[in-house]
Amino acid sequence: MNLIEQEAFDAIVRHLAESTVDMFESYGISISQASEERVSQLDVNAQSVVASIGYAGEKVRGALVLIASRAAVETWLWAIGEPNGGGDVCDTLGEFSNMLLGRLKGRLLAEGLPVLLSTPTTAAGSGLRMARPAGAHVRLVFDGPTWDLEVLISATFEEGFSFKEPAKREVAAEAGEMMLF
Amino acid sequence: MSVTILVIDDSLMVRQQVSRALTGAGFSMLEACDGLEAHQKLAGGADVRLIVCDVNMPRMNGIEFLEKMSANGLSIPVVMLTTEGQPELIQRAKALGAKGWIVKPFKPEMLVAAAKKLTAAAA
Repeated sequence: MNLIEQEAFDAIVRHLAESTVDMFESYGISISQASEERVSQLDVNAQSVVASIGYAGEKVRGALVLIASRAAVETWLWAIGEPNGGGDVCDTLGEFSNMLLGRLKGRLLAEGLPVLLSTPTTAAGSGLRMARPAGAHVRLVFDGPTWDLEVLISATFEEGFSFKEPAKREVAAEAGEMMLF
Repeated sequence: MSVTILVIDDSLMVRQQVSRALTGAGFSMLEACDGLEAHQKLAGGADVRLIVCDVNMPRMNGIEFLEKMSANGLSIPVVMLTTEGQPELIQRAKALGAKGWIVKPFKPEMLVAAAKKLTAAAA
């Protein structure tokens, strides 16, 4: 990666980490980013759920992947007010990945890095492992009250990538905001 | 008879959250998992007074749904409920006739207030 690409990827990772904490905070769940050592300590044989969403901007593309245990996602269902903890864990993780990438998109817009999002793809099973993606990537782990969340972001830059000019940067509406026309 | 609201979202979780909030306020709910299914329900004669619509969906997204509504001459008020907050998208939806924009996650009382205001205005 050249310096501009590295700067962009650093911004993506920084905003992703902050957005993840903010998103769970909005549901009253406190989480914190764990050390890199924790990644190797995760129990890959647990029943897990995975959600992936692609994103693309001008001369940059990548994907966001979330992995959590089934038990973790079930606790999120309680936190968002699902009675009896009912609901589909794949659908729920997919929507959380959608909300997370939506928040990240808003932050990147202000950095001069507009992107478009795909819709989530999800799966559930045991022993799920994330393969090393092409391009730049970072795997983050977050500690929740009784669970872990793995978040992977990847980015591939094409030659000529650059940030938008500051004068053309936009500010996105924030999570929870409502406007009537 | 209660007023019917159509919620369009590919996430079951979101459809359930929206339905729970609005049925609690006395509305009846219809659900569709994308814009295409929503248009099929509307074409089938569903008496809908307000639509709550996601943006990023498979098959037909929220913006395409608004375009098709406009092309078909449908004037049911639509509130977009989405993770997206990009001004360009919001302006696009507004130009296509959307009456509101809410960025997820939403507060149920906020959605109910918007639904009451928009269904009363359309009555």
